[in-house]
Amino acid sequence: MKYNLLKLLGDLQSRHIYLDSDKLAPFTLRQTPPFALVEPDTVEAAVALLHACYREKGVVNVWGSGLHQNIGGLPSPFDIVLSSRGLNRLIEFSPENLTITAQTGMTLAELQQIVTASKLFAPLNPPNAGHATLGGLAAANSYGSFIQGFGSLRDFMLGGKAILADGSYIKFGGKTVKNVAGYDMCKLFIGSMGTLGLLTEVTLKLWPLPENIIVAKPVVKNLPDFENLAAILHHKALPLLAADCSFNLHNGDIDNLQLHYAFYTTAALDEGYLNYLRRLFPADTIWQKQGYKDYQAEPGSADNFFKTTPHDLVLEWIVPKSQLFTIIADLQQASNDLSGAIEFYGYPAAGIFYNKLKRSSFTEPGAFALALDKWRKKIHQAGGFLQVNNAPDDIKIVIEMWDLPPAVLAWQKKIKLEYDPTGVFAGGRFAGGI
Amino acid sequence: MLDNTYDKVISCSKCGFCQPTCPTYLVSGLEHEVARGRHQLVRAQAEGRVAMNKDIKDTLFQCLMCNACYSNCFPRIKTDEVIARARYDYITRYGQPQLQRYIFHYLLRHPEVLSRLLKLAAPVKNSGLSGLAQALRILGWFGKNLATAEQLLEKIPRKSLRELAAMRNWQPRKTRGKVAYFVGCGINFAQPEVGLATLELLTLRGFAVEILPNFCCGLPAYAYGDLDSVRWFAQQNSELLLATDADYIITDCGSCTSFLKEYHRFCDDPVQSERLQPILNKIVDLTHWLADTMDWANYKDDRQPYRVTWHDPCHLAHHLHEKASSRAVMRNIPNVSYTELPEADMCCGGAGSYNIAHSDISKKILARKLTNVVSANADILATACPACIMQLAWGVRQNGMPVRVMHLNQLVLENTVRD
Amino acid sequence: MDKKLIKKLQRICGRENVFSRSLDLLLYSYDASMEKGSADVVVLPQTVSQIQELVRLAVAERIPVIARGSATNLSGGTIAPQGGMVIACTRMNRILEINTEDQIALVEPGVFNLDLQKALAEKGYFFAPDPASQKVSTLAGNAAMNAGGPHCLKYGVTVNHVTGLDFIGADGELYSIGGRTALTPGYDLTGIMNGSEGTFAIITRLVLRIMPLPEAVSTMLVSFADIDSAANAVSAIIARGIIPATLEFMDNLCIRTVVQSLQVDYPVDAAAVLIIEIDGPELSLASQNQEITAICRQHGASDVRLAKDEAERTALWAGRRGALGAMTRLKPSLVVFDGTVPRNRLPEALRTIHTICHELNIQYGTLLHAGDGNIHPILVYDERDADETARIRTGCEQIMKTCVDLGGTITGEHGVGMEKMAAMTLLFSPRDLEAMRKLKHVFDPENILNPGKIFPQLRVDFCL
Repeated sequence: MKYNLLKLLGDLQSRHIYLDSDKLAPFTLRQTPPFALVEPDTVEAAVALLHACYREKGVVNVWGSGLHQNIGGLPSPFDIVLSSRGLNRLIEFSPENLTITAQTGMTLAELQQIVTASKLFAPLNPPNAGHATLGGLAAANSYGSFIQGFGSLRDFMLGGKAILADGSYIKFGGKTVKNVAGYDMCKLFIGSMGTLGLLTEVTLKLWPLPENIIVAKPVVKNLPDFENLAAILHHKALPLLAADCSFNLHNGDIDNLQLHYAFYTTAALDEGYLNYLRRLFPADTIWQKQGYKDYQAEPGSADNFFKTTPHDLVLEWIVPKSQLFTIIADLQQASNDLSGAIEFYGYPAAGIFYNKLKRSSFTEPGAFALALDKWRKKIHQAGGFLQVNNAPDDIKIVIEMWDLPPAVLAWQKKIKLEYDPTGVFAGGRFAGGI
Repeated sequence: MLDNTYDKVISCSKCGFCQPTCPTYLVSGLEHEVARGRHQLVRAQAEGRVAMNKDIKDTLFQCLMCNACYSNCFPRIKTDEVIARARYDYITRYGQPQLQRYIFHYLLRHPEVLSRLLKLAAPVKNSGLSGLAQALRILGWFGKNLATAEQLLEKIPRKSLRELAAMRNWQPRKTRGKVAYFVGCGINFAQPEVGLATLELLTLRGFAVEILPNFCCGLPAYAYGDLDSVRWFAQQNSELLLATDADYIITDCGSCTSFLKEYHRFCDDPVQSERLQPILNKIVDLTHWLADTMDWANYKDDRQPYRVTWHDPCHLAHHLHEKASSRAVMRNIPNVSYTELPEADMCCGGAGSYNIAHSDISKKILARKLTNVVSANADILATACPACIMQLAWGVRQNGMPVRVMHLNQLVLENTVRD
Repeated sequence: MDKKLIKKLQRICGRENVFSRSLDLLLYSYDASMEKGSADVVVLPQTVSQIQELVRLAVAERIPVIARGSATNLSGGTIAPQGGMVIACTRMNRILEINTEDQIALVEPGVFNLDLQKALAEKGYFFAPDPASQKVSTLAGNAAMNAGGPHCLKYGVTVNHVTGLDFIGADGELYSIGGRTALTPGYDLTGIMNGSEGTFAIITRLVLRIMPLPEAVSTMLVSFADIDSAANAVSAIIARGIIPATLEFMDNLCIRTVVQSLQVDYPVDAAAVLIIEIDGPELSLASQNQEITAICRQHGASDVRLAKDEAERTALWAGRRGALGAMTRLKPSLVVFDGTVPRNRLPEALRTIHTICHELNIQYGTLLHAGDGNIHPILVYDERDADETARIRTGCEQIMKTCVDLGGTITGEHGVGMEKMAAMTLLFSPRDLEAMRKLKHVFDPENILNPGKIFPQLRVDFCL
């Protein structure tokens, strides 16, 4: 047992330190439970913890709901799990300004419940993320199909507060959409995978809750049909809320191709919109009008797709929109070499697709690594990126999960070193072992 | 500074909105070559923050005085006024070049001498013996830039407009009114055919013409900061303008029109200035008159329409803010299919004799104009200023472009039924 | 500046592109703000590799480098307070590619925003950020300052529309970040670079997200007899769930001034007008217009005028876009502030600003990007009058303080530059600023790029 950690925890004199193994078991990564779990319920306590870690060289892994803990590479060892769940208060909800400020331990579902009561919503719908914390979502810059209509957190997180590795508690951004006072530190924290600081508070921009949703389920038999439809919709400024696409590829054959478009509208306009949209979609499209609540309540196929086991491989790729179908065709070719199927799920209007493969499709990790290299090359040529979100540990060891250009990685390392020189925030999972 | 130039430049808020309008800025990207920079220079000079030395010459003298900046200028600073004043101060301090002095103080004040000299030069120039012409100091107008000047001027007419016009009687069959025709120097000495077209149109539409025995309008002197000469020309011409009983005073050179309308600025005598005001309102540019009298025109409709495009002379577009008339006239001609020229109101780089004095910048500006002309894909490029015609025709000739450059009135006359 | 150094610069860029006479430096000593400062040399490169060599030389010689576009900056961002080299990118102004399939445009740094808009419009597309200076401001400048504009209400600010950048770092290397995709992996370097005011790098190329033009646009001018009603109507419209494309506010002085200078048809007796624009499919506009009209009437609008055609629409906007400049007719100098407050605090903010200016005897008019709570009080003065200038500076400080007190920020779109460095402490603690400084330290450890900006000049160190 490390002396420095004991001293560290002793100094904290906090009620919220757990050392019992049954408490620690859920936070096991790579078969090793942490030394301690700390769940501060005040910012001061969190500051004290991080400050102590900075001094005593303790390593902290920030943990919200745990949804994203499997993303990325293998984590390097850490001593303490810092649970953000204790910091879950609503700071300010201002419906007139379309903003909400909350502590980052609050879950997305809690936040949506608060804001939808005032007919607002945060256009953030990562699959299975109802219980994910705001901090985790921001750290991973998670998104769902709404990214196609509203962008990602990068576009609507206005400000927040964070505790840096040395324990300094800072604020950044503000509560207004327009704000250029100093550097845009929001951008630094969003998607940084918790490697630069502990986000304690975020302010999000909200939108009026769509009154009605028009759902279009075009019946498409093959990819060319889909491509034609996508081309028609591409150059139109439509009130798109989301577009979901899923299909399976097995031995080069497409199977079970499903498209699901959702447009937001108001009760007064939905008839007009429906007529308008009908002209764009194929005749045999299935149309549906529903309230936002019903739309949300429908069991999403995205949720099913992303319910993964540790034996699933999940790839995420994003390409310039013109390249989408070229890449799908390339993967169709590639699927010939695989024993198992490739499942596809995607947000076509953003050029983002996910592939799920079974670990068993590859005899050994090296075979997957080779295939990944080949696909990556193709996607890079198309101007896109391919990262592996989920993989069994034996594969994580042999591949680079992330897909960062070397120059970006070099900057990333410099930034990490500047903000967390001693490595207070656990590394390993992010690109380049950060 | 004697006048209110300082008050004008101090109201420049440095917003920089002049940048995308300024031809010299667009080809140089330099703060020296844009109204904001020029205003700040003049201001700094007035406040003693920059030494009065020859470094400032380029910034002051490379302005085209096109006033395109005015359209984007919130405090409404007329850059040409600022620049003319600053050039006056400059030549007052460093002296006026001999050649300019000769032109503004002698030749243009004695047009009969100029006419005689040009007559001597004409055969020489037209047969290409430029060396001799230069020896005679006739084309020496242009000093060391003779080669450029020579290329620009395709030929020197053997007879001036005044001489040609004197051979005929300009009386219409039915008289609707009387106009006084102010003869611009460019038309008189270089493009008499344009002037003849004007005279014909005026009579065809029923106006008796009085050809004014005027001097140069004074704009060339103004452009070189010789404000003393400007006063002299304004004084002489004002007398003529006051004397005529014509209903309108017409010119077919947009530059002359706009400058004549500003004569009150150069009149020191307040009584005279007041008398001038109503007269100045009678001055009408030919394009405007053509639009006004459009209903009396009897146009031909006998061919596949020409594709015609239009270049706005700066003095029409940015000084008189007269852009609608020419387009209305052309759209009204059955034989014309009109297409708008991209950046139609951007200077062609001619700007009087700017193309001779600053041929490098002028060529870049012209290149931009010609690129636009190509994209307009027209058979005819019409405009209404002899300097523009000279510049554009030269560019078209140099590049072998299949475009006829002509004055609007030539286009109108060509398509008018003469009974 | 050292003759040898000038020679070296001339070798890089050509003799004719290096300027160091006192006249040259005078002409590059200002931008559209109140600030001034003289560089030692001005260069106008034409290629990326020239910029790269210039920066390398500057690093070796330890001279500051200031990137400059059209210098329409309102906060002194392109001024050289510590001397050094101004790199003016005005000659690098080509649109390299417009790709409607990928929905991106690739441009050089010196392209005017409006020139891109015109080229895009031909293809049925647009670039959402439309700062009031769009006729003249450059796209790299827009990105460096993270510029806003009226349409930000619906479409977001510049950073939301830049997907990739090439830049020359303070180490003289060329980097390419982001790309043609909506998101790129890793820390959001593109996001960080936007709004860094030229203190991190010199932007040499931009990948911009473009969007299909909305099918239809409808613009209305709504008059109010008092300011509070207008401000309350703004909140009410948003609260009803309508996000117009723009929601602009002008007070009476602005209205009268702009009517005098531009002959636009605005109601001169209104206390305030709102210019409300909505866009979307044709069929969606009529009912929204009715709803907005009803809300405005409920809040006491005296007149609602809908632009009937494109010409009327353009005329309405000419008034709004010309308002700032028109104010220079009142007095020769002006300063415009761009603080932002939460939307529901607008009436309070306007009242306080009125009191401040009244007490200091400052003439001012107010424009607002009301939908964003972004206020633009325009204070006019004569900078030759030292006393008045001093009062203006006091007024500015108090206005910024007001914005911060009301939960807003000191600058919504113009940036900190030199003008608001001191005011940063109103908003940020020394620790907050230190966290920002770290980022500066990553990108420019030697403080070569645009020094003397953003951070309060008296460094306040803190201990743990």
